[in-house]
Amino acid sequence: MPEAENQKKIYSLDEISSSLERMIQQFYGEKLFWIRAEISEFRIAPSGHAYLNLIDANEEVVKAEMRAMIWKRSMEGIRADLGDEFEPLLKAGAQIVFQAGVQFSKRYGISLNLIKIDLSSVLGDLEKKKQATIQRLRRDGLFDKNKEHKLPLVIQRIAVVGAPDSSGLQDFEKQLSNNEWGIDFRLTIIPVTVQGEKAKSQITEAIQSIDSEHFEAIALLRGGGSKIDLDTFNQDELCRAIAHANLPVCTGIGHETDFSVADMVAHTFLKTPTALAYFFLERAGAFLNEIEQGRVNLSHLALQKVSSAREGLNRNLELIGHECLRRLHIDEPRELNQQQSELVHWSELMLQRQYDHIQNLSLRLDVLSPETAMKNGYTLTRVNKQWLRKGAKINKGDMLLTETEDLLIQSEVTEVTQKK
Amino acid sequence: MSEELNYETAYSELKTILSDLQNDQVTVDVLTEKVKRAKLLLEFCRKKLADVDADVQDLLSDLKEE
Repeated sequence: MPEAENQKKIYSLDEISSSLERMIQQFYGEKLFWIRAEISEFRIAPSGHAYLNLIDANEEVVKAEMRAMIWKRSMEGIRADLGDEFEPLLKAGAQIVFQAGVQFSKRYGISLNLIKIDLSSVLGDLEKKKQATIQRLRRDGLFDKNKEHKLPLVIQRIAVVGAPDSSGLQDFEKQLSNNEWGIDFRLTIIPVTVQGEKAKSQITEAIQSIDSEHFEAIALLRGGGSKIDLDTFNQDELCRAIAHANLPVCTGIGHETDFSVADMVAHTFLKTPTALAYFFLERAGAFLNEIEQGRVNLSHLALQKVSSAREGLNRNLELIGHECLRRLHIDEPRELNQQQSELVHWSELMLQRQYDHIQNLSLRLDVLSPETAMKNGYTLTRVNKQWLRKGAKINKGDMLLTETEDLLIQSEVTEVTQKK
Repeated sequence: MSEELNYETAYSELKTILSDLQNDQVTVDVLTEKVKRAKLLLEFCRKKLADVDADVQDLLSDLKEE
């Protein structure tokens, strides 16, 4: 009961508080509301209840602020609803949409009693922001900028941006360190945290700090995570750093179904760190295979060249052989044979000519002989043992001896007269 | 015969003998001698060819084995 003192009505704190409690109870009762707010503090007490501080703020001012709590019994349902997103969502800085009742405690004042959190609207918000980021990047001509880099044939020196102890990074290193081709990959790990508030700025700075002189590519790794965790890779600032990087950026972020803006602006994106490691391996392996193929082709060609040159030589050799043989066996012997037969021919001809000549002489001798004359009916007459011929001295009474082929006739000269 | 005989000189001497025969430049007195000489030259040339042939065959088969 209020006490009267100097006509002032003074209430105890409990009375005022009870009145407020009643009023609030009457007005709000068991009604529940859907509310959007940002978490500025979040902690789970050992009792299992969670205590939050919520704000409604734009970039400049906090327009409203209120405490809230989640009773342990509500926590189980919320955990089940949120699944993987529970931890990334329920932390300072997160925008949430939740269902809550208004409650008043005389000791702790007014607060909200969270009983449900609407994940889909949170994710919807993230998706809207993601689309807005994509549009800005497209507008600024950054969406395909990193893709203009030429990816070297063999990527060996890689700047790896990732969380040092994460399984994603370990898988990546393991794949590359024990590879069947024995390729020496040089990985330089640039350690960053890939979740939480600092992730965005750390990754951004890491990408910006990489000296393109020493590397052929940047690998950005994150081995899975919740949608809210992976939202780090949808952040405008981070994606701009990727677009502007002086090296091709290759991403292996998250699991099979996720596709972040970082993946979109990166030069090459693979779905997981392991897949990215395979990508590097296969690229280098394909190059080695090509070289090996080239070596095989080269030696094949060289052998072919040598063997065709040898064939050419042998062919020439054969031609030389044929030519020699032709000369030795055909041309020259034919020539010699020709000479020989001509020699025989001309020697015989010459002898024959001499024979003929002599024969002719002998024939002429024959014709001129007295025997031949007598055979032909002529007679030979001697006088005083001299052939009777022109100019011979013959007188009347000389004895003539006339010879025919078969007779010897003696006669006496009765008259000698001179022919006119 | 005093000079070193080779295929070329032997062959050209043979040709000379033949051409002398054809042109009636050989007397009967020296005919035997000339034909004897020609026979010797022919034999020499044939022998030379056979020798060269054997050498060439050897060389070519050496080259082919390499």
